[in-house]
Amino acid sequence: MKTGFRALAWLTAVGAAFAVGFTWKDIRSGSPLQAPGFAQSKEKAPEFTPTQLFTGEYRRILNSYYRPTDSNQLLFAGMDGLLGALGDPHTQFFEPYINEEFERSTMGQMSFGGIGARLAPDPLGVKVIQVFRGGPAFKSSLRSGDIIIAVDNDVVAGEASDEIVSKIKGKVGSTVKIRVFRAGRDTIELSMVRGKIIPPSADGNVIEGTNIGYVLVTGFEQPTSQQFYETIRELEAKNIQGMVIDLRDNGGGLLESAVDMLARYVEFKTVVTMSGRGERVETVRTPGGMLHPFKYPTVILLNERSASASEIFAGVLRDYKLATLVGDHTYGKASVQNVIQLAGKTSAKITIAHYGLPGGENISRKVDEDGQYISGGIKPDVEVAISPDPGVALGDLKSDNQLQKAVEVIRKKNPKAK
Amino acid sequence: MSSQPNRIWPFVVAFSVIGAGMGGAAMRKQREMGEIPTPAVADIDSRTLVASTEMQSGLSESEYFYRLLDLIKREFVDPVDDDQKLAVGAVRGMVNSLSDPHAIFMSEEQFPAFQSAQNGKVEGIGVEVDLKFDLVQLKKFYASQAKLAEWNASGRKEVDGKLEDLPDIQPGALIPDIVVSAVIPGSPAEKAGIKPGDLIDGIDGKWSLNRREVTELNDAFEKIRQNKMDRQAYLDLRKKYITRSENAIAPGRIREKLTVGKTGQVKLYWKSPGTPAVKTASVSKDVTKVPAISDTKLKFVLGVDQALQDAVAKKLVAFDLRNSGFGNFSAAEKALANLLPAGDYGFTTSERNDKIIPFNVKGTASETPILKLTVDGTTRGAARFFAAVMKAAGRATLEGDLGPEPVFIFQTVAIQGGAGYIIPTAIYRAEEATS
Repeated sequence: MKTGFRALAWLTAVGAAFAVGFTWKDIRSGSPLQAPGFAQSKEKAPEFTPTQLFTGEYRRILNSYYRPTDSNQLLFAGMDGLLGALGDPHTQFFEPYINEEFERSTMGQMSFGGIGARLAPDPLGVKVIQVFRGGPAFKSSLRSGDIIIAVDNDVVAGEASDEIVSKIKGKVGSTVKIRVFRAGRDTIELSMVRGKIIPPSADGNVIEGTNIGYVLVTGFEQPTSQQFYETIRELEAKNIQGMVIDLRDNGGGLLESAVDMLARYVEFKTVVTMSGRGERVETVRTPGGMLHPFKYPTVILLNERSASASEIFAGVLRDYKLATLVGDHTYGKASVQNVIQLAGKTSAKITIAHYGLPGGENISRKVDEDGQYISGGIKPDVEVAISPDPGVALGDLKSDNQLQKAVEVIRKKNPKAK
Repeated sequence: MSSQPNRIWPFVVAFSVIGAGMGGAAMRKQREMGEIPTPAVADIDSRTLVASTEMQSGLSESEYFYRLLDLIKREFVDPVDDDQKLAVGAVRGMVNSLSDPHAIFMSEEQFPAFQSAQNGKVEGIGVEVDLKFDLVQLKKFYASQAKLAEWNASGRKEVDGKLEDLPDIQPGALIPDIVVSAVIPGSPAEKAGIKPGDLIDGIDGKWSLNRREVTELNDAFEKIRQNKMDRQAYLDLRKKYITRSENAIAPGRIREKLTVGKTGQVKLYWKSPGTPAVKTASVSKDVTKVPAISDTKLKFVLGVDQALQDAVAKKLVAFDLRNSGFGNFSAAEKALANLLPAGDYGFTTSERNDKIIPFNVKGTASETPILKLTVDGTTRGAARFFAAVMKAAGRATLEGDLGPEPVFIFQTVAIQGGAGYIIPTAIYRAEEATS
């Protein structure tokens, strides 16, 4: 009797374990369970499983196409197509080298041998838009507004700015001579040793001829929130009466960085509400104890290439009425992705949740069947399109009409701003 | 004596339960992946297939695919239930990655229309279009793809303190021209005056950005920076470019709009080569029937083999193969078998393995008159292949010149679910000498 009972219990346990093993995938993903015995209904029994379909065509192309095909590249293209078929532009496959580059960029490690300055095209050569703190250009007193007219004694007027920049860049430790035209002065010769440059993702200066600070945030990377805070403190030491935060062309980055930056403005407040697979809902709030007193108006500059963390940062400050938004509507990326490392140094960036801003607005981008923008993104409080003038350099008050508008808004709000 | 089994039993039970669990998971995976088939060998050129390839990741391609699909089903924000669609997407990705204007993936809307055209019933406005790339830029693009493969395998290298760069490709240089390669006789397109060789500019208020326009704008930007251009002219050019890019349509979508559908109409904007004027017309969609032989025009649609045999029996030997359309390769093969005695005629070659394989026709004919075929650059696909083989066999004289493009042999692949694609599998040559 006892043996019989034991044998029965054992058999039941084995059967149950088999069933659990078979349905483990469903249990993990929360989908309806499949029965081990009769998995698919008989009405629609496709000849091939998806894996068979893919593998068959993969081998056919590799073996039949008349040009040589790299087997790895073909596989990557297949994986790219697989994720593409989900119809979500933010779910992407990264082949090894992109994966490597992606990691480098979110760690803020894109580096090269240069002088540490941001440059823009100019008829005479290239114009210095921004000098990175502590870099070679900073040490040899290059200033924003300077125009570089010769590199190593070669006059560069009329050359394409990319070409000029590649002349300025070079091996770390080597010396580059630069001739600069500074308004109201003769030309100046500067000599600097090229260094390993890590462009800061947040940096700023006082806008020429005003008492308004300009902070350019190019991405949301790991060091960004620290750099952002340092920049604010530095500008405030110069007694600024308003601040422009430029998020144009900023495609986003890490959500944590945006949250840390927002913690300077609000504490214990909702940043976004994320709704994931099934019923999962998660609210992200700013931490406390990081609050900073802002005693002047803030304007945020946006355009259609401002996306993701940029939209969260701008949208949250707008919803809490702490900033005025100026520029064009933003991209409209209302989803959160997770990067998952895969075999063979590849990875997949997968949309795991949709988010909503504190004000509840859905900013998700809508496109037509040809991929053209219909609606979505954050609509700025003051809409102004960038001028079509080819001489426009973003961040340069003389030519950048969106920045001019931002300054105008600040002056209206704060009579002390000049 | 009796204490020993007692000590073993708990382990036996535990192992069998764990084993059953693992067995269940393995069986599930086995069922979902399925037996991995080796694909059918391409019909026209036979060759051995290599076995499954081990990736640098150490996983086979099927394992890789299965795992990523599994990951998506677990992590993606919305429920994923159509696995088949994702597998078809993977095939689309692979075919498109070849970046070959002759390798064309067709959706489940396009592929049936393509097959219907091969059988002599052409949907849409009655044209075929080719995407023509700038060959110099395309070569550069292939070189950059090879570079990327290198980076993927062994990382991006640093040269002189700078990360290695890809070959410089002009922005927009890879946007193809959309060229009408065939106009079906009697079709709405023919009635609207569209001719082979015409360039399609846009459709229904949407534009295909033209690479010359992109280059034009880049040049203008350089000129205005150096104060060598009128400001207003620059602004006008920029405005035109922005309007077009805000109403852009992908070349592949234009092809779909022209070749799919039996009713309705499209508004078409096109140019003839050498004339800058843009022509506009509303062209309706229809089903145009294409007979295998009409007058001297020979079309390689289903049944062409029989029609050709009947014609030859009536001593009709002169045929016009211009403006031929892509056609049906298996019909062309049957026609060759009807007209030629068994034997090897010419060769097939492939850049993939540099193998030169004699091209064998399992012919049944003994006595055939010599055909007189009129050809030119618009003799394409199956017709081009037929003309080249007949000439190599010494059973046809060609009036006109096939032009510089190689004679490709294509494979047409239907995928489960209705989509499909074509890929060139070999180049046909009359002589063994490779160039």
